[in-house]
Amino acid sequence: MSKTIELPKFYEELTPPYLNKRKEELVLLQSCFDQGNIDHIQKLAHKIAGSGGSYGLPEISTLGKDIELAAIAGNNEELKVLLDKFTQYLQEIEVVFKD
Amino acid sequence: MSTGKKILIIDDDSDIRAYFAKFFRVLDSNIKLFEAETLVSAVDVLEKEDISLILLDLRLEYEMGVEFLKFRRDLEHLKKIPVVVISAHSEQELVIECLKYGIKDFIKKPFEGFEQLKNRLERIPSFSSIL
Repeated sequence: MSKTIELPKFYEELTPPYLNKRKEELVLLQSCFDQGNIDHIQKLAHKIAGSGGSYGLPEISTLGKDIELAAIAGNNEELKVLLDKFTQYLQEIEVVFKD
Repeated sequence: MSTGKKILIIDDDSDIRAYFAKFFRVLDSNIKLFEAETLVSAVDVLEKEDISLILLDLRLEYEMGVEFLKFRRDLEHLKKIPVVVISAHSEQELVIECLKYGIKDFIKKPFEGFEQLKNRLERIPSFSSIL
């Protein structure tokens, strides 16, 4: 099931590559989780929290912040849930642009 | 091109730098944006270019933006360049610390949208004057 988000034209050249980068990053996030490299997850999540909303996707910022906080707390169980949620969000999202 | 239209962004996040590159291209195509990922590369740009405004992230990969504010405080030629902090951190103590170093504004990441960011920046006199 896809989730469609409508954004102003301003984002047309920004948001699709941004989403592609996040999808590529999922592999890295998962690999860091599997290897217990929580510090790196925290760093990546901090950037995601700071950038998602700027690209018209505030849900990404919220998820990024939640992942960052779970990483800081060392809560692996919560981290796993949030990484799955982030994966699902990126799989479902579809962006369209309007004038 | 006017020397008064050069802006430097110091941020280790390439997505934020890409966002500003697009933002300024839409806002005023005469603005030239210089990008730096580290404080060393920022100082290098500042030595070569007549920068009118600095956008500064506080948490860089290996260093803190506040270090730049401290460094800038003691150098007359850098002190005169207005700085706007852009940060995902916005704890009150941090904002106050930055304000003590004479920053012009503290804008929280993520940005809400083009118009909101434009309005926010245009409220800064030193930014409006270069447009």
